[in-house]
Amino acid sequence: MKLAVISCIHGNYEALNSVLSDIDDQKADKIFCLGDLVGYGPHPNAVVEMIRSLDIPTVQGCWDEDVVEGLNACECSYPSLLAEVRGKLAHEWTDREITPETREFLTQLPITHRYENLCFVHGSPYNQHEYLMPEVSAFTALERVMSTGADVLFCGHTHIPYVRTLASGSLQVRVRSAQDTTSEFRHFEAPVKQIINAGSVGEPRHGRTDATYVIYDTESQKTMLREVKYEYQKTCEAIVAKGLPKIFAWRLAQGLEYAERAEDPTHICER
Amino acid sequence: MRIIIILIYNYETDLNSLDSATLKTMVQQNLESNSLVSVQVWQLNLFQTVLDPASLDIFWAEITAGAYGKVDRVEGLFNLADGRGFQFRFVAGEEVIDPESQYTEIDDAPCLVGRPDRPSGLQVVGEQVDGEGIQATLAACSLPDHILEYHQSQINAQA
Repeated sequence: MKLAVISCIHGNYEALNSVLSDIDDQKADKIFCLGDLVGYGPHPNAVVEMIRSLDIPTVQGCWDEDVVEGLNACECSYPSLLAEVRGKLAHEWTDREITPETREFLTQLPITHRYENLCFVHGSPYNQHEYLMPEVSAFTALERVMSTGADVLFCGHTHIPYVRTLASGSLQVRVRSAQDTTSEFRHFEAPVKQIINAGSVGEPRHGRTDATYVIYDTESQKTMLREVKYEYQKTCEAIVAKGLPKIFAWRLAQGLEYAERAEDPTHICER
Repeated sequence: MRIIIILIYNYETDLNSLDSATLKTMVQQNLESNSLVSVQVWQLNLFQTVLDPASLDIFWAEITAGAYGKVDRVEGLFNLADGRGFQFRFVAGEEVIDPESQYTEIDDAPCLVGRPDRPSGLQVVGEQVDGEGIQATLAACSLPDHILEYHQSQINAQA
């Protein structure tokens, strides 16, 4: 079975439309979405309506959560003052723009979604805000996959697509009793696990303007990273026309993210 | 804030030898050939403004890449949260091998109490410079008093 996995659309309807056309061309049997339907981009309602009308299984992203729960700008969520100011502007704009139906849809999204031996999350199984960067330690990567009980963990959030295979994994844990000084070692062998990051449809961070997503074949277990051109100029025009900061349009046209990623790849928001 | 518009035209003939009709024709030809260039010098005083370094990095990357208009030259004197001052310089067309070569630390004692008194500002030479956009971004990069005081107390506690 051919699965298409999309993530981080960020209100970029033009990009989503082109990606869905490409998914049609690839003849994917099923589509999964890893969240961040809204935030920064000019068409949050249209994106949600499209995902809902196609009945695409979707998990909640950090932006979806923030729009529902209210922005909680813990300092570690923003790597700079400028990113914080811009993030808040985008949040406030999105909060005003979305309809009650959109908000309701975002509210009911689950944090994780399971399909056979696959698990779908936005950031990590623990938190929508945690970044599983390609360079995160093997221990952390393996632990995150094993915590789901799945063999393949699909995530987004970083906006950088990648495939990481964790072969010959083994974990050794030392358990010490509180009552005495003896300790016991426990050893776990892990079969091959994978983390597959789907990149970003609406806010790519690979230095080009093209949208990214992945196609995964459940039989061959092969992953294909797809890069799709779309009319980003239309999105840029809509950003300006709808009163979002002009710099968002400029950054999108450069293939840059609207704000930057957090520097600590293992950061978990403590709220 | 001062905005100065300078009109520059290319010529090879000695201006003194030209009569007004010839000059008018030459300017007209330059206009038609698009060689008349509108260069803008835009300046901003940042006295006692202290910037967040990570934010300044983003702003500098944006302005030198043309986010606020086509820039030929940008020079800045900036105060950072750790009390140091830096001079930033960018010239279009100059190859940048190491981004760090675009700034040098000002040889001055760091300011770790209150706001620094050293000169600070930005000068941009370019075309269609978006002064409002630059000002808004730098305002978003600026540390408010309570954050600056927190940074300074941390540094002073370690000293």
